[in-house]
Amino acid sequence: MATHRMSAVAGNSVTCEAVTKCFGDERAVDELTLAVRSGSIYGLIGPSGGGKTTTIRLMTGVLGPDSGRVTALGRDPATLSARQRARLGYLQQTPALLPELSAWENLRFTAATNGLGLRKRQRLLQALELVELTEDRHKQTEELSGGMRRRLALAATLVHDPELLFLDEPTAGIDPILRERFWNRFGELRDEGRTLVVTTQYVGEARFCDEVGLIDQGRLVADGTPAELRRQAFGGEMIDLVTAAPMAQDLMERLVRSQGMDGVHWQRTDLRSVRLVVDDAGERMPHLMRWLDGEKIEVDTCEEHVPDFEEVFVALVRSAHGDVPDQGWAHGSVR
Amino acid sequence: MIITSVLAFVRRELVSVAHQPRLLVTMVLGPFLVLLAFGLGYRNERLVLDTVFVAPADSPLSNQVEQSADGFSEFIEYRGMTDDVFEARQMLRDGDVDVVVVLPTDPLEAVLSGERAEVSVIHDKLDPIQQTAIGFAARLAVDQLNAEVLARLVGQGQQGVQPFTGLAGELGAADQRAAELVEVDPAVLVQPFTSSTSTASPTEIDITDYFAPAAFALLVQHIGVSLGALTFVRDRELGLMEAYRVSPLSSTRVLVGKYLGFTLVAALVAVPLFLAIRYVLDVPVLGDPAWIVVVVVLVSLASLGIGLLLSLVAATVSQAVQYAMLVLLASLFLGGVFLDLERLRLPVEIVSWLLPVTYAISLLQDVMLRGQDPALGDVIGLTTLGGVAAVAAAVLLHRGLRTR
Repeated sequence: MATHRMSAVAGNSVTCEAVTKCFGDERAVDELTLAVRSGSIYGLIGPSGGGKTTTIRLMTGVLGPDSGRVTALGRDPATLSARQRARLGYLQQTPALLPELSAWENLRFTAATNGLGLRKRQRLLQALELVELTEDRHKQTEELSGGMRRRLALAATLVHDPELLFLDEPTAGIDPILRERFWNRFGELRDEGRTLVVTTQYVGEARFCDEVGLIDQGRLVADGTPAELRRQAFGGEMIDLVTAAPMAQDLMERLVRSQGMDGVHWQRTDLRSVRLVVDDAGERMPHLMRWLDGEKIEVDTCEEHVPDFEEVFVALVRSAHGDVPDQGWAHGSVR
Repeated sequence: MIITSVLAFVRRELVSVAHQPRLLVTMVLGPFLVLLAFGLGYRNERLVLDTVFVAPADSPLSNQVEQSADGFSEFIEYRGMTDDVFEARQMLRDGDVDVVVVLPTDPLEAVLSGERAEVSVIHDKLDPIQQTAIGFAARLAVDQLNAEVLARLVGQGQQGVQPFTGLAGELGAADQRAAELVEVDPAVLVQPFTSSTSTASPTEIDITDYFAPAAFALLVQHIGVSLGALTFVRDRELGLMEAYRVSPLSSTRVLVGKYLGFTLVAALVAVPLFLAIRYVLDVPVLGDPAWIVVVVVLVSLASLGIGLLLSLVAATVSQAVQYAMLVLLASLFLGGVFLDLERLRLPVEIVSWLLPVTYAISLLQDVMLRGQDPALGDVIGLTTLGGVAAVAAAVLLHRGLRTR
């Protein structure tokens, strides 16, 4: 196990360079370029039908690109040897399970097809424990609920301890508590050196990822760390300032011209509240507090606003579509 | 790793079937019950046709037929004489009789003019086999009628020895024995030869015995084709083919695993069915039973190969089921189940030899009913068919598991 962990750490486990895949006239993936660092969690987020699953299929070698280049474990995924394929784990969007077999039998079948030897009982039990299906292991799969099948499929993906995991919507249909557990487990896997590419329809789950790629209409609209995406969405970090008395326009203009507050955008959210967009909230906050103190302005609250990913997602997608509503942002001395 | 993944498929297919006990029961019990019903229900009797004769009231033949009706009873059931052909045809339409025999109105006139007097036979049978049987029956009945007429003439002729001198010569007797013929029954003189038939098989073969090897072969083939035809198309619909593509599995491992698993399933079904045929229906096994094992394995493998090919070609499960039914239908008509292959023309006969059941029937009949070792050509043919199907399935599966 240690060997593959070491090999995964160096460089990128997955790369896509200007990859395009068409189905008929439809461009499912359009000039996509991204890199997944080894030993990280890369989240692919985007609207339904945006190209996430096609991207995963290109990365696993199920599909080949029409143009561009894909690598997984340093090679074209279509040319990976059986030994290299044994290092992959793939959870499909629709669980690939045999309904007439029990949960245990399905797990054992998948483990064996992925080369896991005969003495695997303990591993199977661990996998079932993770997805909380130990008690239900003798039930026939067709008797399991949709969520349970998805959990079983995840267990089947993890059971052979793969180094590079492609998880297509692993948390779809899973309750929030178990979803959190899943992400904790993904984090542990990442900490152990594994690489995970995860698609999700829950935008908020981007916070669990080391890097996120936002895919819309087959194109990579934005990518980076969650913090970088927030900056991309709103032009920087945000500070919400609420004063005891309304702040006049001229006072705001003096603020953005003051020392250490250059380049700041601001927007009045109500008479006493202002949202400031700064490049680094932690660095600007002391300057702001000093200025407010010097101006003898009584402050109710002054704190960094961390937008949730729904906001980030909507802002980035709108921006990609050229649909940027006028939100009344003011910059420096303009207002 | 190779053994583990191959065994994974063996176990999976066995467990899948084990989880469907009704399927297992249907596969074993269903065909056996069909065969049993056939064996019990089939009337192994000569076809006897209800027949009405049509002749003018003053026809000399009407008396002749009425007197000879007993002689025809092997072929027909005499239902009376009428001089109205329309009435007779109505009886045929109403289903009261099977055959209408229209006797010549003036046979003497026909004979005097140097022609045979025609006996016309009308029936309503659609089945070509029955049509042929009626044709034979009509010929035999006319022969019988001719013989009856002739016998009377001969009886009258026995008053003088002369006509028999020539006949004695034909039968190889010396001239001085011709006088003895005067004492011989005229019916023997008119029909001096008779025939008897017997089979080369060391035992009496009844209709159930005859069809049992064909039914058994057909069943083993159908199990193999059905299991094979459904497997990949179902895997594809469940998303398993996509999973195989990403996994370390090779097409060879998948194929070997499926072959082994399904052969075991086919054997599980074939063994109790064969035992039931042998000991419940009492169908003989005159040859070496080991050959039956060989035939079952070969038929299973060849049928699986064809089924797997169909599965890789079919787009949906229902399409695969239709393909499997087509193979079954082709086997019934072209595989020698009901019709002898010698009755098929060459291009169609080629299709027959693309069906495992054709070889299997021949092989099983050799072993079970003739008590001899199977024909080597059939063994080689079946093995080749299975081999070609396996290679073709491997190529298609390999393509199917490649990146698209």
